[in-house]
Amino acid sequence: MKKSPFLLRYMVYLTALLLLSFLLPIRYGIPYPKPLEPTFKPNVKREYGETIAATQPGIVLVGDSVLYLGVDQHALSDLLEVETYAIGIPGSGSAVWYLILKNVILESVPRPAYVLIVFRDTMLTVPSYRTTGRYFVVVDDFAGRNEPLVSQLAYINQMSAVERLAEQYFPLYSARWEIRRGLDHYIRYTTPSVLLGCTVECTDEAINAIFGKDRVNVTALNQAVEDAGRTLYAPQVMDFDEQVERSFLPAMIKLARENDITLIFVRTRTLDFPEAASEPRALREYIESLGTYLAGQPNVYFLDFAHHPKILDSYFFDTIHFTEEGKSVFTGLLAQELSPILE
Amino acid sequence: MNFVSFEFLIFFGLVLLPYWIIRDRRWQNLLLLASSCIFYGWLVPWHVLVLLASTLLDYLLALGMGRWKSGTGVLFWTGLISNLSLLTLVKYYFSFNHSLAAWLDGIGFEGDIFLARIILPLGLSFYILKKIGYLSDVRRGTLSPVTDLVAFAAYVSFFPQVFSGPIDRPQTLLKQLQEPRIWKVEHVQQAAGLLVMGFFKKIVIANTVKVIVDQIFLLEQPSWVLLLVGGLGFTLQILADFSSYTDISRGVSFLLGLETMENFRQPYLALTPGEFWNRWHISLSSWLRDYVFFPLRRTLLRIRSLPEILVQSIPPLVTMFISGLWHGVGWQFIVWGLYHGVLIVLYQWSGLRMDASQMPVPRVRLFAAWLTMFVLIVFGWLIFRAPSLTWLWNVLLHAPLYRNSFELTAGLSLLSIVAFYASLLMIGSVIDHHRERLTGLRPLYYAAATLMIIVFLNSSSPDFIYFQF
Repeated sequence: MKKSPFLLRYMVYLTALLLLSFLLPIRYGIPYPKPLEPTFKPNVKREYGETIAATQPGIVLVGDSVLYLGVDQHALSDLLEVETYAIGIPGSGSAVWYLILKNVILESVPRPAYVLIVFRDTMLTVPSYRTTGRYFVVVDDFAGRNEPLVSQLAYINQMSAVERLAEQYFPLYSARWEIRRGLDHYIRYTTPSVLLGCTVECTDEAINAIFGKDRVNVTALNQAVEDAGRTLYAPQVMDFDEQVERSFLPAMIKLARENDITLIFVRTRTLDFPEAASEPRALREYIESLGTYLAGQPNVYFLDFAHHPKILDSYFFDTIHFTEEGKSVFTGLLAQELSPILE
Repeated sequence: MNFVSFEFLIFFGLVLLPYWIIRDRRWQNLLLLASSCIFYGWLVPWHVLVLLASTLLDYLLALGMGRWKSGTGVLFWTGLISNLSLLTLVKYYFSFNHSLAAWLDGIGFEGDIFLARIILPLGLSFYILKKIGYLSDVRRGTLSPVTDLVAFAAYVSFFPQVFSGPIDRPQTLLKQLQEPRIWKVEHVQQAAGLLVMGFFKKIVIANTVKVIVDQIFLLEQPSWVLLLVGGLGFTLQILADFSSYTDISRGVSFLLGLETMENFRQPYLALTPGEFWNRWHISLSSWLRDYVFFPLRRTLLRIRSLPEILVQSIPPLVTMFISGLWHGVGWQFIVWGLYHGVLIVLYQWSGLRMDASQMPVPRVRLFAAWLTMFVLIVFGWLIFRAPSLTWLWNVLLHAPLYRNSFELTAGLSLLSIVAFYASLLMIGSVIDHHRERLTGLRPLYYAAATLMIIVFLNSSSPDFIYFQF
């Protein structure tokens, strides 16, 4: 078969460029072949451990922005008459929560007697949720140099056989984050620097100020939240039995049990499914299975606020986050439910 | 199943090999039909039943039209009403009806809004237009009804087109499906270029620019500077996104030995409103022109008492109104469609002539025409993309040019990202346009684009606004 000039030239150029890409590991200091597990910085963020050591809370709450914006830790401490400390990390998921338990809470002296994990729907059993892209920075903040379980569950298990091969032996693919970061950096900061004399920090400050929470349109934000959370409602994700052994949940329970810590899992309400009847059947079954699974574990409690009648729709500023009023009500309700457990 | 997925690559590989081994067109069509059903029903298998049932009905109606001449009108209207009912029911009634979940509960389905979304068959707007076009052509006598049910069903459900077009006519695609297919090197060459550009536009350009656009349209009240960046960004995003699907669809079709129609021809170079629609989503524009605009115009011309101004204005307004309705549910799509209709009418009334075929036009005038048209297109996309008409109205009336130096810096930074990715597309267009002269540069551009696809693969932009919470 006679090859056309375009195809032939295209193949020649492509081959040449691909061969050149084998210089990328040198450019970015990436080992070849690249290990499948991500490279974490050796140090874990210290401030949270230091706060636990200084305040010696009886209860540590762990979660994402829903916890950060939804629980008033001082009010909770007053209501329970126990010192509490909330580690609400925006953009975190179960991988980060596992790392906080393992590397922050269990490493602190003294350890709290209770750890509360605040989650939504299927978050506990989706190990890869919020672990890539810019979310990786959050994971890295709480990871030590070697995190075999996180590497396996959140990263390696998510790759197909082809991706694993590409990640290890195809430098263009394995260096893609570094290339993109470099490209984004160049495009994003050059023009403000040249035209306005604005540095990287100045540009970042401007972007953060413009796209801050207070200036966001709530309706559009709800749609964005819903889109971002859609991975939590994929059919395979709502199969609890299939997901649980591939998740951080068994490891979190095991760690807590080995260290005499009582784990309390708190499911919060969202406006995605304001009434129980509006929940997909698969999610309902998932929650039932989760409840059964947690009930079978010693020293583990499950509090489900998803359809609590006292948490009104008006307490939300978007589909998942509480307003100040909602925060106050939710904190009170949480304290009520926690009191019998603490007694 | 999504074109831009690993699943699709495996799926297509599994279809392509036996497709060229069997060679017999009837078996090839059967394979196409079966693979289209798998492709279409990948997420929700029973959607295929809706597709096949409505296809069978139209096949029988067209056969009936061919055999029973006196009943042509009744059969045509039966087909038209059934197709439009299905489209209206799915696209508008279900979308507006938030109590659908309760209704589903009532008939024994577990009711929830997710389910409600899932049960809406995707791509319906595309294959219904194909079928209506076919019925219209049979009714007019410009097309004989097809007796080969498999070929007809393969045409309607043709997997490269079923989700996002192009809306190929039976005279071209169905005709090819009734003929033997020949493997040609030119097809492979065409396919390679289209597939590379398709994936490049989607993975590298559209997905990246989308992040910026989404951020801006999430704001409660952006300044005009940010609105402009958002508008320009969306202008780029929608072209890259939509045309990428067409490119991949055409590339895949070429590999199956089938030539499908071009859908975008540098639409942002249009000098007039009419020209824009001759370059943008060509398969839909030409469909609307042939099955809505011309018939309506002919009907109005027959009404002698009707003033000329109405004869000239009503067809574009109605056509673009329907185009707006077809594009989405909500007032903003209707307003967007009417906006373009008004532009066409105003251009007709203005008496300006900017066609390239006309006598030479001074360059300055050409540039002014292009700039005016481009601004009008961008404004149209603002209507299309805004969270609501109220939001846009509020921003246009009350937002300042810019509030502080932060907005200027952020706007400049985001604009430079949009400009960078736009320039990648523009370079590609220039190289493609001068492909005869730039024979060496074109393959280099495509090779570099392939490399960028690999870099951007699985590294979708992490700058999601919600991360901040």
